[in-house]
Amino acid sequence: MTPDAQVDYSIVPLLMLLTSLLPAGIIFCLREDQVRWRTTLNMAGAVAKVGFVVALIPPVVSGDKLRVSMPWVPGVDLVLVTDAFSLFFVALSAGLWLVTTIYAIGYLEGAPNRSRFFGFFSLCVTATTGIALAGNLITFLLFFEMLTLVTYPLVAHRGTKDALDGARTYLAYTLGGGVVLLAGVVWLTALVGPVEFTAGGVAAVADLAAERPGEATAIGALLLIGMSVKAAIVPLHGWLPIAMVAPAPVSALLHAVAVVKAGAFGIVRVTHDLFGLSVAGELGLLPVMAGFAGFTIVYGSIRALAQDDLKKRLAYSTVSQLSYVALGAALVSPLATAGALVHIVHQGMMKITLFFCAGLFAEVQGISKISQLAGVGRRMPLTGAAFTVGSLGMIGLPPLAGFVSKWPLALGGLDAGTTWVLPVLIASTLLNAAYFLPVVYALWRPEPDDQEAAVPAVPPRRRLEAPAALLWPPVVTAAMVLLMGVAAGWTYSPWGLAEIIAGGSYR
Amino acid sequence: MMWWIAAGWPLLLVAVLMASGLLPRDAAERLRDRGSRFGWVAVVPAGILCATAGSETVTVPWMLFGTSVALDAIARPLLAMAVVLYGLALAFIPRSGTERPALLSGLVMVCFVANAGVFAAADLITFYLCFTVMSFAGYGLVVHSGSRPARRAGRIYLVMTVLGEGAVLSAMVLIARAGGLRLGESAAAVAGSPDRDLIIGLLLLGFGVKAGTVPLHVWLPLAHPAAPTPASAVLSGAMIKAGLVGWLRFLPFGESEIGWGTAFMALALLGGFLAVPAGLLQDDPKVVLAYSSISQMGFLAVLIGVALAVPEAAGACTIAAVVYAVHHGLAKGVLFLGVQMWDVERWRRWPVAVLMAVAGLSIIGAPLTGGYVAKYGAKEAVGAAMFPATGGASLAEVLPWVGLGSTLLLARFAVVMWRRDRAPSPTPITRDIAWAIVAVAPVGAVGWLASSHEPLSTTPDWFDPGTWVAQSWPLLVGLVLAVGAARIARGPRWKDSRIAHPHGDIVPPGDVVTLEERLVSRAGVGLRAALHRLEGLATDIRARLTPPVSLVAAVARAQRSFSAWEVSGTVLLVLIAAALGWAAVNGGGA
Repeated sequence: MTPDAQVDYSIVPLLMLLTSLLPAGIIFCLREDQVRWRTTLNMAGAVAKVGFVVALIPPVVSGDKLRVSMPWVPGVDLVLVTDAFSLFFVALSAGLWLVTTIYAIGYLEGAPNRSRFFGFFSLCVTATTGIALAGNLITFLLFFEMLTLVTYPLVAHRGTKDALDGARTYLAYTLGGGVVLLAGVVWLTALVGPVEFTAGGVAAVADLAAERPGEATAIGALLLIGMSVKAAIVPLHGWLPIAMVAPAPVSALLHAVAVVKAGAFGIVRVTHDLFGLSVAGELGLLPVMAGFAGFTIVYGSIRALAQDDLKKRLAYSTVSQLSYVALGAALVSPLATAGALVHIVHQGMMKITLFFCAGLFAEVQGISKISQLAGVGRRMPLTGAAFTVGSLGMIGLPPLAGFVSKWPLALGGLDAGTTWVLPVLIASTLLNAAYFLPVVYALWRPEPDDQEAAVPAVPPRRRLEAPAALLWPPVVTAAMVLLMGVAAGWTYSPWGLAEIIAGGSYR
Repeated sequence: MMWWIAAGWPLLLVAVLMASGLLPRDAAERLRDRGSRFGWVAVVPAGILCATAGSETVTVPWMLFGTSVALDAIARPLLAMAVVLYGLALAFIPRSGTERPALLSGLVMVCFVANAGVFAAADLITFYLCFTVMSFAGYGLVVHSGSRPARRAGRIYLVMTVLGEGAVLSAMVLIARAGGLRLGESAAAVAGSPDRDLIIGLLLLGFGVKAGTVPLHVWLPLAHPAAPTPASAVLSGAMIKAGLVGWLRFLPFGESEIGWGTAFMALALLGGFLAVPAGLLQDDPKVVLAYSSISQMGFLAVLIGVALAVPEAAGACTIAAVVYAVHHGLAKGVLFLGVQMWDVERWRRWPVAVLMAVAGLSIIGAPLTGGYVAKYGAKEAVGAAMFPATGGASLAEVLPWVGLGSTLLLARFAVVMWRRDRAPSPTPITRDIAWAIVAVAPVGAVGWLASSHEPLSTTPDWFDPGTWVAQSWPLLVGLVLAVGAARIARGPRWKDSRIAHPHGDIVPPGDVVTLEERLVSRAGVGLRAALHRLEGLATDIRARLTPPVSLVAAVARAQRSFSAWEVSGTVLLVLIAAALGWAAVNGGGA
């Protein structure tokens, strides 16, 4: 989204894709018992991708772009670009992929079908990286659809009836969304030819909007609806709570990074880099989207209140929190845009912490209901602490990451003249407190009131409360939640970068 | 630099205490024991900072949205008070009867840093950050004992805190939007904001929860006594002042003649007086003290109301409020810690009783105490202001009646204390001496503080007979009433009366909270039912929305035919890889 950047041809974006595509290919061919090979490949890919991101941050922040373009079918190019916004998203997915890989290796130790799992897992990250780096709409669509297909086996991984049902619903929703998106892309391409994302909007699209506003609005609506399925905006959110049947690392990845963020990322791309804020605003797309997002924020929170299943509550919380991004993207205010962008990272980090912890509770203590959580924090202090940090962050308390996204969103909402944003955010804060604090309270409750609900304590076999590979990922991400909040003012913090990127939309 | 040490040192100690869990059991025990016994050293750097640092603003740009602190006329005296109070409380923790003194010490240290931050913040974000951290860490103090009443108090505390938090956050966003990010400019920004009245209302609500303003006070008589005694001392002495500081920082003084000034005044006086009968009916000394705090905070809120309504009085009222807050913080802290002095410390009955009486007299405002200065200053600051809420009398005439209420409350406190059993044990003499000094010394400190702000503040002549009479009649009348009541209560006719010998059951601690709890729980049941109805509705809609050509069914068919995952995955992968590879080879140079 930085317009006057210098563009260099480079193979690097392609290599970034390959860091996860290659391991995927090899892992599919591995035998089930070749654990060491699989782990090495997974970790090497994840570390390599993080390495790429770290190396790319300084040049991209200073304005350089790396671009690779390949003719795919006649007239249609595949374009991969590392602009600031794509790198921002790649950084999130690469970082979280690394911790999730470690977690998944620990989580699935000894489980069947691991080659299949990790193969698709790597493909999933490849697709996410592709979505992030996509420089034009066609490339974006390609990877967007690929993501749908490769996450399906992950959701269905356990092969139980529940898992298959959940996966089926998931696929029906996302394929449906994909069809709508495809229609929008085809329509737009037929009218103006292939479009490359440009900070502040594509000129050809703006011309189209000026000449045929009706068609432009319809195209915009199709694109946004297609994205909204993955971004779980009410009423297209139904798949998300049902997809909770997936194993914990998959839920973590689905909720924090891959699928839902692809939708949110796509919404920002369409509103900011395809139409541009002023055009999207004139076409009336923004107010409608803001309205839906605002409703989703409150609706998701209210539904979350009623869930006793921990993962379901977290799922509805995701529904609610994701719409912060959509809301911020729909507000014409640099602060709100930056808030939306930074929430992509912050929500990812907080939610992945919570899902890691939920997985730990389920694995170590066999607990999946909130009503059974009483006193668990005392048996698993590190996990409990990580969950607490994640929850308080979600509520948006300073100095945690959630506050750093909520504050600019609220201020930006007032800046943009949409005063209803403030009450919605405050209501969301209170509701978040209402559904997270009881969980935290239960975690640290001194003695279980109800002896029947209490789970017998696990005899202390080892010094750590859980296997290290499961325990450290949430601890690290929780520390990041704190760090990203406390050090938000640092130049290279997510907030610092989000401000730079958001600036590009308003030039 | 000094700022870093002052804030970082206590946090470092907390981190060390937390990390002690990683050590072997013996070493961890030893470390925790040290940590809690010498916990008071946590406040020493802040004390040095308070004495030596200049008043310039120190900014940390990388922290949050830019964090800044400064020691101005409001911050420095309050920070000094906090240092003394928290230091003393930390020293009292090892014998406070808690089973986990290290945990309590750590929590109190976190509260200290946050509380000091509330006082010293120079911008709105820092203020809000510290306010929030303090509120939520305070929850840890309230529930520390883990007993059933403590947990109930904790729940109520948390609910009220979250509601207050919502109001404060809304106000903060609106103020920031109005351009009041730096605290020096906040009040002016509020005054100029189109949402001025909304902001003032939100501030009254949000900080009123913390300051125990009626009717938001309900958590206070439950939470302050539920915490271990040293924690009660800081809750009631220092943390309660965070709400006051919030008002002092953000309210547009002298801008709202009728509306909010009067509302403040009415609520403040209501709290100042109604707390008295409610407190008199208690038999737990800490609950009585908590009601006394509500009454005293009512007194302070009167000053805020006057400052809001009368522009000329604003400066004097601000200083008077700060002086009063320092005086009350120290005296109330001494009284709370006095409960522990009485219960377990080594000194005899009389010295403890005398020193507590000194602190009590100070709260009442008797001559030759800190309260004498503070109350006089407050009365002079409000001047001859008259308000509808005072029923035609001038405020300066109404305020001494709060002193009468204090006398009665403290007399009740003395009665219930005197009946308590003591179990003195050999405790460190240094701690007891420190307590004694804090009980006596405020008279000098408060006097000096008030006189250093002249002519904005007015200090009384120490031996002026007229002032003596004006300041001591509430005490004398109160004592007469108390003695009279005690005599009557002793009479045979009143032997079984629940009013003459209250046990906190006529008006339960937290008074209206029991009603509110019942309402809330009933509302909760209704809400839950509504939620379940919503759940049912959502499922219903989803069931009915099955489209004629079901995508789900189509997927199910595909699912059956592609059940061999390894195959389908590999196929997909090969396709993608082939496409990408072909594209890379063909178009590498584009």
